[in-house]
Amino acid sequence: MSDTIIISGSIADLPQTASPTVAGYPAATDGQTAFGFSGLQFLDHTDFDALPARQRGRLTRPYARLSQMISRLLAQTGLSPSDIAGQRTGLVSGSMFGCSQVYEIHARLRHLGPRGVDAIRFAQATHSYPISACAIDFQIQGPCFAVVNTQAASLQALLCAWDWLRDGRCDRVLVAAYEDFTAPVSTHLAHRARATPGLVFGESMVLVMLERDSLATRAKSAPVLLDVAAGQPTDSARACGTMAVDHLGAEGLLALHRSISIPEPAPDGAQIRLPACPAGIAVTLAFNAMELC
Amino acid sequence: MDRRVAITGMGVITRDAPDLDAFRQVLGQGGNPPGLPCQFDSTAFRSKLGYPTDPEKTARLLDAALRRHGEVLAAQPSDAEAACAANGLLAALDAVARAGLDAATLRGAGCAIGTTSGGMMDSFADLMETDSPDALAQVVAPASAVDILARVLGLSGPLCSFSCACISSLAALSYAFARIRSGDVDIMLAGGSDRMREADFAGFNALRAMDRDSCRPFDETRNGMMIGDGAAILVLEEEQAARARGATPLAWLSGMGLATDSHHITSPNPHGLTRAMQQALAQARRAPGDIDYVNCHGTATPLNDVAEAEALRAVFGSHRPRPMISSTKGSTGHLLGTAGAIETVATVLALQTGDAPVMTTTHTPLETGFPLPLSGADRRIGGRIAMKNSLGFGGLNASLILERCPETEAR
Repeated sequence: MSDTIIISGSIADLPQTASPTVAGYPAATDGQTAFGFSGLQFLDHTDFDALPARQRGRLTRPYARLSQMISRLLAQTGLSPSDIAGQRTGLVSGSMFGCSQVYEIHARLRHLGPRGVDAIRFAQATHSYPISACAIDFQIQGPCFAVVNTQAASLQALLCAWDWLRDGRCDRVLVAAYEDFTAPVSTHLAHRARATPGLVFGESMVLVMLERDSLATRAKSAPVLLDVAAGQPTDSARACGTMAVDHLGAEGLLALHRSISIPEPAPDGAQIRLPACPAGIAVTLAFNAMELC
Repeated sequence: MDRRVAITGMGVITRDAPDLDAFRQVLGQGGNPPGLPCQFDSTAFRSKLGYPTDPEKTARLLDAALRRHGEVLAAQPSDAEAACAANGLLAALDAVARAGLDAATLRGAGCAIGTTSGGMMDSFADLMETDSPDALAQVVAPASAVDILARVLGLSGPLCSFSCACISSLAALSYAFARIRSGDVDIMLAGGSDRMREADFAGFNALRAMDRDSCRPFDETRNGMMIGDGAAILVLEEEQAARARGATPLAWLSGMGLATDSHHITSPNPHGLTRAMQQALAQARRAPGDIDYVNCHGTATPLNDVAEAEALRAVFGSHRPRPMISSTKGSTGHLLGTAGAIETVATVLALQTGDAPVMTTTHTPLETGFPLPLSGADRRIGGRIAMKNSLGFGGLNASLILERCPETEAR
């Protein structure tokens, strides 16, 4: 397809605390307190935690946040829910650890036996639950994938979106990236952080909308996505993903979000990639006809 | 640029089939009856049986395979890696050998794996309460299998892992298909790898989606699925690259369809699958009348089989004769995230042999309007083009088109 693909919107939720330790954050049960939570930064889950238990039980944290962020992104881009409903819109997520519910269901089984696993909780215990549930909410009927991978997860998700737009499956794709730290992921990461002084892991959720330029209704120029390609990292590619806090699988899309949120001139052909990624994803952008990273 | 994608090698492991040759027999004769898993005690569950591999037997098979295929290995798996990805490693080694890939060519390949939950987070969580988690620290990530395969086989191409319920491995195949067509890489190992997981066994019991005795797809008396585990890996290769090294394509992967029905988390709506099939046909530039065989998702749950049959009627309704349809889950169990890959292998084998896999557990067939390869019935597939469909939680749907190669026909 020859239509230009633009990044028509981008939002991110990040931890607000400056401290690497979230004092008083409720430690999970199941023996997760052994390593504490030093070295982890959490998103503000106050709204979710304040929901009535019955309502909270029908949601998961990543699903609730993604649903809310899709609404915010629609507002940012001037689109309505009906614009993204239907088979021409896709939704893809990337996360290193995916949904904690997948592991929580195992913990419940261990502690409570078969009666600890109910149908509703189990139906939520897939890594694709946040995108599936949001697809139902917003009637998105194009492809929906969940990439669960290493540090490259969110850029692999971006690559899927690129594939779908380029081969004509979709006109719009929402690309989400997130990490959600509940047990046992939080314990595992706390253990890793403690073993390496200064290492801090952060929760986050990033949501980016890609769409065909011909469909876009925007007041100002949007960044153009020139290319997304998978392969070996190249020496000429400039690393943009190194941050003080490691956002794991969300890091790549977060770097993209930061790049387009704070535009600065950059050399032509500059690329975004993660240096630690074993299979590099090279992303090339242009903004106001000037390449930037 | 349209780069044609060939399948040049396949590897499989299931409970009843330690390799591709054994799997061919299972498809021709039907699997053995379901049994108790040895990974955990299932007696507390309503439905206790499944198609689980035996981890000890798998470990022995892997040891032998690692010795047999030592020339393509870049590294030996650690004990934890072997425990995590034994099924995937076995299937990959078999596929690589059958594709005739040498170590140098293999090093440039990428890998895409679908998995239900993957990794060893469950084991990690258990260890947290009893011991140090250090031994598992490097393999707990949900997508560990793809990283383990990449390290052991020395792969340097794109690596990606999908966990999208029961379409996971078709998602992996679609990613691999796109990487080759886009020119990112010439060779991808793609498929699924899963271990039997007690939490999934418990969850499907909680959903009342598991039969107590046998899995009977498209049967009037069907009452649910039975979980299995294993792996299937396919070598996907760009046509010219495959021919340049003298490989014979087993089949072409010519179209993929991906759609979501946006209806319900656990109850499928036929519209999503209908669109996925139509997309796959369009990308392959084929018409419904070109399809000779459809390997269905066919879980044998009351809802799935009815929705799937309705979607098939919507796509093939006006075309006669209708293609033969079947589900292999009565022989292998439902391998969840890996199901799409193992059933893609079954579909390629059906195109090669000209026979659809027999459905030995279906005795009182549901009136779908499509011929079924039941025991004693004619199972011949007339032509050379087939379709594979998968459905997953959340209304996810995937469909692909496979075409038999003339070279394979001549042989």
